[in-house]
Amino acid sequence: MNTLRVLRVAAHVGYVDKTSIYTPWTWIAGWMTRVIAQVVFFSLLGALIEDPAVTRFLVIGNLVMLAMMPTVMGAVVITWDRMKGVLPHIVAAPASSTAALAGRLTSSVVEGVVTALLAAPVILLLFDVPVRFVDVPALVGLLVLSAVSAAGLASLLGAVLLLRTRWRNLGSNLAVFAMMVCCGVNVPPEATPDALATVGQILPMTHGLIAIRSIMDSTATALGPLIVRELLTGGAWFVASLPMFAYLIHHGRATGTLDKE
Amino acid sequence: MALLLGVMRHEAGLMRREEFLPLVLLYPLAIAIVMQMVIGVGQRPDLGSFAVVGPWLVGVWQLANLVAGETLNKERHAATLEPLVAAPASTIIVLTAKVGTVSLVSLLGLLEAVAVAAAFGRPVTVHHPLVLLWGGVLTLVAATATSLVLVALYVASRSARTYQNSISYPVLVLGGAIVPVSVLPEWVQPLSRLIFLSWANDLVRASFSPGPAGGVVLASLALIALTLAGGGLGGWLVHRALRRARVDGSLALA
Repeated sequence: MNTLRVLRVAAHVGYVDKTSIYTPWTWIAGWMTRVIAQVVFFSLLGALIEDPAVTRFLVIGNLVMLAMMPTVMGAVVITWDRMKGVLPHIVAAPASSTAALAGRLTSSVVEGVVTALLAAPVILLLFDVPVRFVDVPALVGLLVLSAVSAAGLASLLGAVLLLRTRWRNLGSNLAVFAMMVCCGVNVPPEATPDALATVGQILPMTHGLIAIRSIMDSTATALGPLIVRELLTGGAWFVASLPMFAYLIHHGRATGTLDKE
Repeated sequence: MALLLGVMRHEAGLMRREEFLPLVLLYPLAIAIVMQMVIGVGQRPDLGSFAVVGPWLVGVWQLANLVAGETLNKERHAATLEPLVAAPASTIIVLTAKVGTVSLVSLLGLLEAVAVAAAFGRPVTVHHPLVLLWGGVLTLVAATATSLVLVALYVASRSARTYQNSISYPVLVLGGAIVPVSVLPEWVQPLSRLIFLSWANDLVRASFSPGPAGGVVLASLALIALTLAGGGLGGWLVHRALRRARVDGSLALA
């Protein structure tokens, strides 16, 4: 019960962090303009090769990617606690440190999903990609599932980057680019080079995106296994982050470096 | 000249510790991989030059945008902005040399894109090396001039990071960084031609053309005009912003 309360407070802190960067106006005018332009940027590659089917593929993939970006970048938010000297307080408190740290990702997941959902009508209209109204609940559900799964990756990434906070932007961007390249965002997994496609199999979003595409394209794909794979992938990343958090806290306490590297 | 070389040497020394430089090198790498994969799916190996020049220009722009926001901030954090402005040397020349030195790093993006093309089995051949050299120089000079305009805009803003982030992709789309301007809607095209990336794309891609390198003169003239306009405007805006900050005593305040 207390863990739930810690998660709620951590989510609120994450929200407050965001509002210190963006006002509602700059978020809509600045951030949303940027992300819509990002999807257009990649989708223009379809126009370059003059293939409407490729354009449609790029539109859907990059739209879903919008939900992953803020989620994975949430790893950076986790590192702020060490940089701002808050970590010793979190560790000293009787509540779960992991819940306090990983809970910061909640607002990142919400931001990611809201970003993609707000951008979707504009992008889909712009590129004339129709969506059946009846499919919307399932598509939103799969989007949320993929973002939650990506939060597992962000949790491990955040735990690792807590050890070297100066690499926070590079590390989180590397993860975002890896997903963009390996997870079937821009080309189908079967057209992705083997090494990259293999990495994609263990990254979040790959299976969720296949499920989203199968609904959008009305192909007879069994969604159950895809949903299970997506859940297991995100869960595995999250479980892997737990010993990392424990190590960081143990090491920080033992060496007196919780508030500095 | 001694001032320029001195600033460039100093900035090159500082760059080794810059954390954003590896980040900027990620962009051309990732975009080059994506473009090669898409070209492969579309079976359009004839677009190989786009997949080399486009990712490079993405890196050039991202670096120009990033360095514009960081340059004055760095001076403020190190408490060197006031001595810099008080020194008898021209502040604008010092800032231009600093920004220009960092922009040289974006050349690595071109090497990355060429390496990715080779890794995907679609190596590119430079048929007009002088055009490539000329285009590369003009592009970097234009990027430096554009950075100067951005420095002025960011110094006047309280949260440069927010604006840096916001304009990154819109400019890449409008500037035709990865696709020819003709692919963009007609009403956007005049606007695209005001952004140096569109001309840089035409000029540098011409160096990979197996036939005669077309459009070099027009693209060169346009890049020179945009550089002069951007440099002039940026220099004037930075001068005004710094003068105002000196008058109201806010030079060292973010």
